[in-house]
Amino acid sequence: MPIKKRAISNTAVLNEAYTDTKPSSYSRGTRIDLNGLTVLLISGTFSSDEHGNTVHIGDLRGQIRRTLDNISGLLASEGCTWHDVVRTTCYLRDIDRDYDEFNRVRTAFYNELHLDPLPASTGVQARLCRPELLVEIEAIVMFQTKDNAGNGGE
Amino acid sequence: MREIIDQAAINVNLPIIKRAVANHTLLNEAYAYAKPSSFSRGMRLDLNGIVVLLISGTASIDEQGVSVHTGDFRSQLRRTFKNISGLLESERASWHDVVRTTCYLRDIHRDYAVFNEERTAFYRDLGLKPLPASTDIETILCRPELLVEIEVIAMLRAEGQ
Repeated sequence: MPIKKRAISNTAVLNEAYTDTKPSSYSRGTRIDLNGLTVLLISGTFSSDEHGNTVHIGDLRGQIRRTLDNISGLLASEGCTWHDVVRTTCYLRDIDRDYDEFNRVRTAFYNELHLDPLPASTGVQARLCRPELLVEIEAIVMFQTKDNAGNGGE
Repeated sequence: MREIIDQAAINVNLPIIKRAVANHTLLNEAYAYAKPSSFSRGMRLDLNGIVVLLISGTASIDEQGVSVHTGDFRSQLRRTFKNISGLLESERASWHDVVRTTCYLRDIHRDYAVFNEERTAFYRDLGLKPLPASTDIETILCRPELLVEIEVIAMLRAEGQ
């Protein structure tokens, strides 16, 4: 039997990958509802805008910020926040060169949100789908849900 | 004291129900390779009526464990999809139950366009909706001749639930 699931999107901050000039068949994320528990699997997200264009080319800090903001937008579209993120995987194009700056920007962002506990994370180097991309982040999110009848959750 | 004992009883950890996933008509076991590798083709987890399938990184390998379609990206991708379909079917699941993929390409700048073309055609044939979440990146894979590898998370309800 199928589980209850659907695609996540927030076209105000980023377009759908299947509407890119070079279409790619994936959702920005999947929402899964499991008996009062919701899991969001956020796809690898990067510094692209609502038209699918890469923004902040050559600007690591700008790309990280936009990536985090895009994820925030996807989370907001499902009524949750970074406080519900349990795990990230962070891909850097050049980890030796950029990891210090990546950590500074991420720490500042998490500090602004008073994120505690910090999500589990793996940070690795990879070449990304567009040559100009310096960073890409995927996330796993979990929270409890209540239906209108008050069932589920706490 | 009584309370402490009760608490201890509650906190005993028990294993979940799990087993390996396989489909020998399509691909062999990695631990049966000429150079054995200790992983299952996938794991099935049974969590109170929810089934989670964690499909290992799967590539263009046949039932003898031999890489097939060397040098042919498109055919490697098709065989990879076929192998994953077989693993899903062995658990009575399908691509419609896939919630997330991670796609590893050996040369993403050269091959991503063909990859997208093939994946879109494959998903379209299946009428897949919603599309699974995905991360697509470049990595060096376990065999030099492999051009693509895909791992998958699938979730479904156990039959009768």
